[in-house]
Amino acid sequence: MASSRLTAAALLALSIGYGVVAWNLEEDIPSTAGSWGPRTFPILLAAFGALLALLLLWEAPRRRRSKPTEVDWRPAAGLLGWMILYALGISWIGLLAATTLFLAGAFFALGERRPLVAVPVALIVAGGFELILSRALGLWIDDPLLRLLGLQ
Amino acid sequence: MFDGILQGLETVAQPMNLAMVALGCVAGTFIGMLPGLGPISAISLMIPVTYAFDPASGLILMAGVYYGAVFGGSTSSILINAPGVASTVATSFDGYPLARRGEAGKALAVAAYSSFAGGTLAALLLLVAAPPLAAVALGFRSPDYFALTVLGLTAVAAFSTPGKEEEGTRGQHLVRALMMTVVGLMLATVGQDVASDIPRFTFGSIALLDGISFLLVAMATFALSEALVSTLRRDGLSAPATTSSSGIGSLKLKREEVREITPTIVRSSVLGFFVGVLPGAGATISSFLAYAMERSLAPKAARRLFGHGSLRGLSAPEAANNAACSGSFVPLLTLGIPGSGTTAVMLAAMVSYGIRPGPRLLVDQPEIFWSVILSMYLGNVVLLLLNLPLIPYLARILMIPGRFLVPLICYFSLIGVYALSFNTTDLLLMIAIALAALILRRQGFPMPPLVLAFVLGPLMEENLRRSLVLYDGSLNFVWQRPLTGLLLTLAVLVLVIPLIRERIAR
Repeated sequence: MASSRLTAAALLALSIGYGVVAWNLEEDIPSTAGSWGPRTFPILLAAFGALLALLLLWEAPRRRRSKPTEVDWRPAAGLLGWMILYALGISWIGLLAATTLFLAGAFFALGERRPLVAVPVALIVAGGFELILSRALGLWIDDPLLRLLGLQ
Repeated sequence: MFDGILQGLETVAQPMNLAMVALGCVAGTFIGMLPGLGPISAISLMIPVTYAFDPASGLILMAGVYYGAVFGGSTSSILINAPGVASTVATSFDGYPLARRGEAGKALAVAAYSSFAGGTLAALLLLVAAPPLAAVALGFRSPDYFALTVLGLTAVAAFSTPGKEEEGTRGQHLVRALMMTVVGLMLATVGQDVASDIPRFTFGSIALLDGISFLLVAMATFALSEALVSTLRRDGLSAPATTSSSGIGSLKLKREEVREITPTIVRSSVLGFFVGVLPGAGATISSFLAYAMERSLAPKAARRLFGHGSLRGLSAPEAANNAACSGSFVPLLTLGIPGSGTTAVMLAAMVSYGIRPGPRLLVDQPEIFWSVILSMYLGNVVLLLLNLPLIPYLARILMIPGRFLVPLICYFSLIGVYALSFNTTDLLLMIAIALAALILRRQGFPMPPLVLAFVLGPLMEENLRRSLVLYDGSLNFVWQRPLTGLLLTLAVLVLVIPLIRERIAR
């Protein structure tokens, strides 16, 4: 129940924040353009969104919910962490290294405990994709590591 | 019309395009089988690949991927009770019990034959219905388009099904679905305003000036969030449950079994096609409606088998969801309005090729129009011929434990988006949207309304703006144009009737 109210409150905050930003948008439109400007549609959306969010807040305590099952968030958190590191690192260390590290780390985060399995699998997938993207699809992705090794 | 069909045949019969159909069907089946990846993800992953080909070939490839992915979703639905696609949830009701008792081969065969028949019947209907619909569509103006987008968004909100852990009234589900529609429309406003070029909600970021890419939103809300959801399931990361120790059994059907499912397939195909034509309804709705219809039409003895391995219960949703795939192309090709989330992705791809689907497509580019329709015939044949023998081998992929499969799915999603823009901001935004989608899904908020609203948002705003300009800032177009009034009335009825029915039932 508390999480439902929290989500509804977050959606209400989103709608209000969206509306405030929309209201402050600079408009430089000629008078002949009529009453519709770049902020009109966003303001309508903000109003409708706030109304729906208030309805959600009101009905949150009334909603029947089956008993929540126990959930272990650690694998999801680990996977998310590795995805963020991948996003931040790919432009620095290149596709091959970033992919290998991401896959090996994600396999570990989700319960794989055999490095002799996880690392080779990660390397094979990373290498395979590098070949598919660069050779088969002709997509050139800058890879500092491969450049250092003279392979790009 | 016959000239157009011949032109389309000539285009489709080129060796390159035949290869596209085959490649699309096989790739789509493979991708659709993977948990978390369905037609939307499969087509989204294909879009960068299709840029290397001409538009007709690219569209043919995507149509093949679409069918293949729906069929692939059925395979994982039957074998391991993990529907790869929302429209194959109803398939698992009777498909999985059949697999559990050692008849997975028969179940997969019934799914394949039903999908083939459903898709072929619907492609025939499309051949007949598309040109008349195109003629009607030429009478559409901005107010009508605006009303049509409203109808599409309200329909998908009204038909969105809640998650398993969420109970509640239809009204409560509707509010959540409408909230997601608004969030999707909000995301669509990010970027430069089309009319005035003023940046909206970019917060000074150059990366957001062009708006948020559709591929990013689709992959984040479907593939990535589904991958994260699977990590929360207790058995989501271990090896999938195996089927009976006798393997998957024979793929052959007895004569009386064929006689039993034939009328089911015909009825479900027609239902699926016309439901698929309705913007917002799509394959998921059609599969559930067909299941419910066949269950109510079945004799008492046969009705008891539904949910326990009934061949009718399996063939109905399979025929309907494939027929709906063809049906969903009708509003896309003739009106330029996507009939489902998947055709929304195809619309985005078409626009990126410089093709604008709509009433003029049949007139200006008939070879594109007819080649897409005719590729559906071929796609159905290829699916049956190629995939039936491959099923036992493809199914082994599902034996990959989740702790390996889930990171691979995440990687496919991330690299797909990165390969388009080479932008770290896009990756971080995608991860943030996926996290938000995970939290919202756990609260019972459906994702299809968000995705469809994201695609239709610019169309909706632009047509509303034009309508107001045409009618001097007033809303008179609602009652002065009968078609606009009718469509908006339908939109209201679509929202209100299920609520009234539920109240009466209580």
